[in-house]
Amino acid sequence: MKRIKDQTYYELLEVDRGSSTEEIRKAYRREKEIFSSDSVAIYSLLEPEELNRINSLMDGAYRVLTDEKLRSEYNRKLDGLEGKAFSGEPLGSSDIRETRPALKEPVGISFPNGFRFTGSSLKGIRESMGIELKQISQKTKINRESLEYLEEERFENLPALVYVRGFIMEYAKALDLDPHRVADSYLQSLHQWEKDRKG
Amino acid sequence: MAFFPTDQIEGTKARKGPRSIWTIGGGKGGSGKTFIAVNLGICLSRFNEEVVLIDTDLGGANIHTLLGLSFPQRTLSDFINKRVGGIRDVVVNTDIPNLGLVVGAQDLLTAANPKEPLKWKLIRHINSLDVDYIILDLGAGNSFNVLDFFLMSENEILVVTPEPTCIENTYRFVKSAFFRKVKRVVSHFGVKEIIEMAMDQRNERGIKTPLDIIELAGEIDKSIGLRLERELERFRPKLIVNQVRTKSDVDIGLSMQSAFLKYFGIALDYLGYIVYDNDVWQSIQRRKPLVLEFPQSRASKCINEITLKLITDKPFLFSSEDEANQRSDLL
Repeated sequence: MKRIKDQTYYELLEVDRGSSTEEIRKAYRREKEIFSSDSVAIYSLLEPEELNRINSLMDGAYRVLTDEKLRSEYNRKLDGLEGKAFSGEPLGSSDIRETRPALKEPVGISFPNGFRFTGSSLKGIRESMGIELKQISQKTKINRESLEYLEEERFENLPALVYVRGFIMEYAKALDLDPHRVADSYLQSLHQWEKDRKG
Repeated sequence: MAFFPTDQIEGTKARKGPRSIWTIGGGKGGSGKTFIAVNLGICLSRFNEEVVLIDTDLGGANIHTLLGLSFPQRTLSDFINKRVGGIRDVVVNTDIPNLGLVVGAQDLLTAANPKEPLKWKLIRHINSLDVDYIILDLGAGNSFNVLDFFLMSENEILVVTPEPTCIENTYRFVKSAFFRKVKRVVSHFGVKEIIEMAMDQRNERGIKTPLDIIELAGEIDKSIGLRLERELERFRPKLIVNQVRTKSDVDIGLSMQSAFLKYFGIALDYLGYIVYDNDVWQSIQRRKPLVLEFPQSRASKCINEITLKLITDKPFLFSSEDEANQRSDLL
């Protein structure tokens, strides 16, 4: 949690230390846009003199980081400062914390404990991901009708339990969900239905 | 009709209190807080989760209108004035399965000075409601009432529209919320005084950001400074940009995220945006919730996506590049 004046040039531009000149140029343009005097996003946040100060800090960061010689000098200075905290070991690029990790699609999303994976909640999840039933069918090789029965929980139309378990696990995998957890949760409704049917 | 069945014994979970509370605020009136609360609530209820919407907009409760209901017979007033046994007795059914509603408590407003003990009682009881999710719709402004309701959850959601007026209020709101939060955790008189001072926009010591407070508090007592720093790290409100018309409107969320981190030291989660969509206006006119009336609309898709992000533990940072790829089909 550093104040702007204490931030490193990399932190100021929100880039990591391994960034290329092109990445730094892009980041600089983005930051300059955010902190321009007519930027709506920071409306009312800063006094004009603060804004000037931030902009000149950004300019300095850009000047140093896009000049090979100045940048390596600056890096040495940083290593000297951070070296103490890292007990003198050289900083590899893997040690450098990324300030803004880019996240890809929802791989391995974790649902809160006790979340119930039912036909309708799975349908909701699928729809929110913008995935069509057709795509699931192609991926899992399960026909679309059966998938519909799964989502609508029309258990009477589905095959025996062991197949349903397989189906639902495939379905879960297609959505990058934990197949075992989804199947366990889903099959609870099926068991309940069987119990009710037998009276 | 009561939301909870009176003979709810079998199948009752041993849980005490909701699994999660979402509070929806942001300072400016008309930014879409109520609209978002209602539609998020419906999306959640479709995941088979029991959801209760609570309208804490004390002066202008109107969630019921967006749901096409008339003003309910039972309100928080009945609870406050002990006309019912517990807060669960004022949860009324909506026409939507799994979705309950609690409306307004004008009583809290009647005294010129908000009745603190009453508010804390209310917060305590809301925290004990046995449902999966509670969504609190807050009123506008940054009065202590609004801030305390906002801070009662781990999922504090800010709604902002891409306009200078709304953005200005959002910065002020977040600042006030943080100051309010830390004022409750410190007992040192001198530090309390500084926080008090900071609440005034034009204070003489030039305190503007949470980082200023932390520095000043640290000068008085190092351990208090560290304590406040931890509070700041833990304070992670989430941001929704509503009524987005262009790509640069989408970027406003990213830019605010950046500015909050740099200048306030607050790491905001940018949850997503909702496109400006005529269907929203239509649905409000018809008093039918958007996600039910126009489930295929672009705005509905945005809300669905946000709901899904909220119920997962996924961190919500976007990179501009990812955003650029995702946004093109909705704008």
